[in-house]
Amino acid sequence: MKALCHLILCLGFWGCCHAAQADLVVIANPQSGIEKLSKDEVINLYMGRNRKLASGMNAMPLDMTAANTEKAKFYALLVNKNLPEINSYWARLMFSGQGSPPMQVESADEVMDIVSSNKAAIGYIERKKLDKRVRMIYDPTQ
Amino acid sequence: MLRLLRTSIVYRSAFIVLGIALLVGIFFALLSYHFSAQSEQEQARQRMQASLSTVENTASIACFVLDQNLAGELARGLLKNGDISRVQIISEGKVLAQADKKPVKGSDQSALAILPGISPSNQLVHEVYSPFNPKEKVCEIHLDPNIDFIREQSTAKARFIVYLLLLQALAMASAVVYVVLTMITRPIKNISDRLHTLAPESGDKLGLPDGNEKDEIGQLVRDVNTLVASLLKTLNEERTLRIQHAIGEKKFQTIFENAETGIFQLNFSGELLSYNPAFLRMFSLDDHGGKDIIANALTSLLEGQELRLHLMIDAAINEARIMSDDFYIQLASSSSKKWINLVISPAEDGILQGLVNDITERKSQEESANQLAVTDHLTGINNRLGFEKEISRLSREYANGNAQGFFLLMIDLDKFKQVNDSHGHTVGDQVLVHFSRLVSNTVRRSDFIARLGGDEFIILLKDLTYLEKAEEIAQKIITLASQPIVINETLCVQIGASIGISYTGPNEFDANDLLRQADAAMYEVKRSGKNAYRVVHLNSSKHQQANDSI
Repeated sequence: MKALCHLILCLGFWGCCHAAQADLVVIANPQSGIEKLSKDEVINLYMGRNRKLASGMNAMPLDMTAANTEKAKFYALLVNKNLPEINSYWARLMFSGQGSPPMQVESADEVMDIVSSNKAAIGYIERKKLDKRVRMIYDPTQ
Repeated sequence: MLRLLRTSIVYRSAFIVLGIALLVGIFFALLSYHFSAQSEQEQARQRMQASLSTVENTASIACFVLDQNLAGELARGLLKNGDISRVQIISEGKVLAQADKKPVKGSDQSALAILPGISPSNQLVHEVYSPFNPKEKVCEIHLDPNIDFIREQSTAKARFIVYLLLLQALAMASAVVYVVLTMITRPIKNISDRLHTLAPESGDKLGLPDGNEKDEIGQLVRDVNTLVASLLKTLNEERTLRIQHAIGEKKFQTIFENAETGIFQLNFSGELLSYNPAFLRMFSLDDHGGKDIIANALTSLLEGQELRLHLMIDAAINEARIMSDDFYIQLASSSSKKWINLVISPAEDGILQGLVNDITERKSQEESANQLAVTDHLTGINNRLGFEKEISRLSREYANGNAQGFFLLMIDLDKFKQVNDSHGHTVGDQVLVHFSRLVSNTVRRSDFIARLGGDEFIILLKDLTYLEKAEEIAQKIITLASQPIVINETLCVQIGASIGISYTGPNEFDANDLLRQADAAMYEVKRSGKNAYRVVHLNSSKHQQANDSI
């Protein structure tokens, strides 16, 4: 009984831990012509280094507002940086008047909508929110 | 300046100290320049590194997104650092951004700038990695160090050290000057000034300078005092010696000046070199007669006898003997004649010293003594001794073969014995005197008369070769002798003379023979009746006139 409780607790705890380890993936429009992206390519797109996709279109990476926990998780996962660092990064780029940070959207649903409707858009969502409208082009777990 | 260096210890030591300090200063300045250049470069490097690490994040972002603006901003920012003269941000072979400082030409190209120690090729290359991937190099930042700046910095530091050292050198030199001046030069100057006014004769001594009693200067002063004292002692000894010497000289001088003996020096040719007043007096010379006259005085005084003088001089020099001889001289000044005794002894270097004494008086005494010895007291003519001397002199003369010939007249008075016996010795003596006067008046001055004793007389008719003349004289004597002799108013006596004559020619003769012959002839006359003469048969005679004649 005691052991069971332990187990349950443990499982629950793991589940919660696992949930905290947000399982994020990067997605793109299936017509975007992008099959897979390497981590570097994702970084390049999201951090303003690359603005074009392989197809030649101007890439439109989508970011989320800081209210969403996915954002912090995404950047932690991708470049191992926290949000203030990312902000400061963009602040510097914006100061020079060159780069501008990815467009910010309010929610994961909005990300899905924009990606599914826009060939150049790229976004990140939780794995469990994947559906047919988008194609997963980068899976950090792999 | 050079003169000062030579004459002043202060200047010299200051100069040397300054020189050494400057050399050392230059050496240290170079050293410090070198080190400060090194360290300055190192510091510049560190500063650049620091600047780099400050902008590293931004740089990696700028390079990551190839943001030229940001990179340019960054480069300009970096360039604000004084150590950096040029910034290049190079991404994949392309220059993303570049910033240069305009090199300020001709700025501070100081002498130190040419020194080694700063290499311009000290470019700093910094690799910048992606902000998201520490393995991905996104660009390089090339930083050129600002050589001028670094140089200026190191130069400034070195200059500062130089200034410090210069100040130190000046301070040291001043200290040396002060020390030398107060501790060496001034005491020495004082000593020297004191020395100038020192009167060592009065026992004056150099005072020890205050504070230097125990050091080298004190030692120097003591040494100088000792030296002065010993010099003074030596001087005094010298002076005493000189005085003694002068006294000695004076003594000799006095002797020389006041001696009655003529003292002189001559050279081997008989010239006078020096003489004393007595010498002048003796020969009635004076100093004002001119040097040559005085120099040759002796030889001219001994005119005709110089040969003897020169023989004496030669003997004195060659045999190193003291020579002495008498001379009979005629003084130039007066008509008088003098006997002098000359003593010559060799001195040195061919110089002779001589003494001359006036022996006229002694000579005349001697002569009168001699005269007395050979004189018959009664008659004043020669006695037997006088005759013997004369005959021996003549025989020497004739032996030498410079003669003519002479007659010897042996006279014996007739009837003298009776006169003597009957009238007494006094009358006899008067008769003898009378006769000798008579004979003296008859013969020539150069002829010789002697009384051999009693009433026996001898006459030498010298340098006579004519028998007639001799006979004439003999006859005259006989005639005169037979004249009555007035003794006084009441007494008148008469005597006669028997004469034997012998003769010798101009060659050697035997005096005894001559005498004997004359004696024999005289006795013959006596025997044959007196008051006559007889001439000896002159067997040795080469004379044409010499023969018997009655």
